[in-house]
Amino acid sequence: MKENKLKLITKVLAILVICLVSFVGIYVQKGNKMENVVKGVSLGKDLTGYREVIVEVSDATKVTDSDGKVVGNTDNYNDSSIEQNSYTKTEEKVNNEENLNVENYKKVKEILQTRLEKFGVDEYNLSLDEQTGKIYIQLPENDRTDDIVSNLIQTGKLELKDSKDSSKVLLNNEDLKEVSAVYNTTESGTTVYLDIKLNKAGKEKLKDISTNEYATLPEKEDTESDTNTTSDTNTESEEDNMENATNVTAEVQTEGENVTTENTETDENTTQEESTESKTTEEEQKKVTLSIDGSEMVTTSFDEPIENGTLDLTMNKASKDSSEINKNLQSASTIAVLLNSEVMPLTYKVSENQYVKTGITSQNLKNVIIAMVIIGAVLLVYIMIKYKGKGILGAISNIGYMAIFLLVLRYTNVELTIEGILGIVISGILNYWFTIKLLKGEEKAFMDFVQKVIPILIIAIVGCFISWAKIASFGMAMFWGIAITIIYNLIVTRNVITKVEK
Amino acid sequence: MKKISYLVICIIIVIGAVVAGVKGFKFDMQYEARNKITLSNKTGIEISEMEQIAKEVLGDKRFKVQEVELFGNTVSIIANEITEDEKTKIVEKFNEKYGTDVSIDSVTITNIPHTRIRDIIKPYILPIAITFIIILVYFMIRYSKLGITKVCIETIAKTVLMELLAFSIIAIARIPFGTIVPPIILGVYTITVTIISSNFENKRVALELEEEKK
Repeated sequence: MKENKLKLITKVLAILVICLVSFVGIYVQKGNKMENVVKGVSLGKDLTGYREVIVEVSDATKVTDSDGKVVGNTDNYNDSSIEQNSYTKTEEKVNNEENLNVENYKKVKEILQTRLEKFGVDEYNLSLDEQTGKIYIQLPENDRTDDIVSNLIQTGKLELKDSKDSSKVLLNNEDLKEVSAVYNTTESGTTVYLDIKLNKAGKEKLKDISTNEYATLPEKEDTESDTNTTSDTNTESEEDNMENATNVTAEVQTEGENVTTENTETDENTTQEESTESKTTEEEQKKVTLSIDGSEMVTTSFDEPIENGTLDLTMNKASKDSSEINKNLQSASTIAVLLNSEVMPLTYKVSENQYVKTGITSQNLKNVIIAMVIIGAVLLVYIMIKYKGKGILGAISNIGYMAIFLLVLRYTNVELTIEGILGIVISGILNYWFTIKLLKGEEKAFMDFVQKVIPILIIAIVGCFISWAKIASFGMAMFWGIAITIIYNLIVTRNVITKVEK
Repeated sequence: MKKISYLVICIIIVIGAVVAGVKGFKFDMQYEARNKITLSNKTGIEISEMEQIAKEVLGDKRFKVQEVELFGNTVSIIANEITEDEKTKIVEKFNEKYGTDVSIDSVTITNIPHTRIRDIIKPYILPIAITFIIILVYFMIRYSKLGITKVCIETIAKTVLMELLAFSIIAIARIPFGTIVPPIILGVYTITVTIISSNFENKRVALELEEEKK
């Protein structure tokens, strides 16, 4: 009897300690202040704030260099940089008037939606003004937001062109099947590649290109073996002609941002040409230039025919630095996302980009929490009155459940949204219901409860796997809620109530 | 009693459908077509003071004042419509309040398009559909003794009815469609399938007890 009492008191004290830790925290002195070492709750965008971006149809005109080649538009270059680089501002608009129609605006919206999903944005809001083509975007604010915003409206145009005659486009986006970022690790380090797979038509075209006029011509004089020479890459910043697999930097000009990638020697399917005096002359050797969004990535001819329809574009030289590898992988993944979605039919520019705090203030949240606590208190008082001694322990057990539940949510990094809070409320109600079953002394209370909550468990598990943040928040909150309800009530509540009955 | 409650539910659904058809749903400010102006200064802006200014100028119009960026010195005022005249008055009152000289021409009225209902609820459709199919199959297997067709029809009918009821109440009560509505729909769906499951389980247990007695 005394032993049972002692065990009961110990359990109740343990519950109270957990409640203190969860609701109040553990304060430790750090420097001159006391800091709570218990992890805080992670809140979703509807409870903190979001990035608001407005993109609109660009009215810029094209900018050309002294050779008449288009280098950008007036969104990328201001008057002073145009003068500095001896560029010329033309009257030709980047967007033709005939393309400014509702169909293209809707297409742009769909492309942006696809890109946001492929960039892994777990929650967004897009709305289109069909009159002006303006698109309003809401994104969660995190480390990747700036990167996503700067890349979202890129054209995503891939072209394989004749290096001398840029109007002769040999391959474009219509020939693409899939583009992916891959990496290969060897003894010398990890190299990141942009793996460009072509569709059936593209495969045939590439085979034709690599076997006919753009195949490397046999050299007229003896030269050294050409297995490891670099390709010529025309870049905006530098040109390098070096032997034996050195690094050449290609600069991808994107709107408002320069993404630097490195091109090294590609695989055995691309050819290299030694820059020796004994080479075949440039007039005889025809080459192709691969460009993405107008930025030339590599210029080369083909040593061997490419029959597998795959081009591997090297993004960097072999590296062992993990941050550099991650950066290159991120760049390659971004380019892959842009190329895998359709080409933007119109050029857009960002007209507004700002962080907006949510309308739900901390005071609003406090009011909701207070309301929930009051309702919870009323329900607990009810069971205390109805079931007396057992009811008091049942109420303490319920509070302990909520304390453990909130701790678990914090340490499993569940991002709380309004749907997540709903999940917490429903879990609380389910736990209360289970407690009443135990207080009533129902036989098979546990099995009955489990069988009745299977549908909710299905919803919770499916929700956990959905990428949309709000549904994932609901799913995870419900999953942990039900799991803890079952385990906690079996181990703690049932035990405590049984002891009181004895 | 059951028949009366079903009748009341059907009446509410019809009224809701009429209201939604005639007036449409009311949207949260964050999702409806709106105008926005942004103001900033160097010293900091109190949201409550800006709300006061906006109320004086915009009167009965629905509006919202939002804090922009993290420095406490920029706010956006959004409303269904902000005319040039209203913009001028807001800027003048702002300058008067904070001692700034923000020029009226430097403040532009940005038009933000509305978000369609289908875009708001689209992310919820697939997960609800997947879970509903799984739950339906589970019910058909577990409660086959109650009659597969009956279980199927009852589950579909009750779930659809409750969701329609929720939408009708949202339309009638003019609850703003936006941040709160999708959680309401999700919550109604979750609670409905739990209640259906509970009812089926009780019926199954009762049936088993009857069979045992026989």
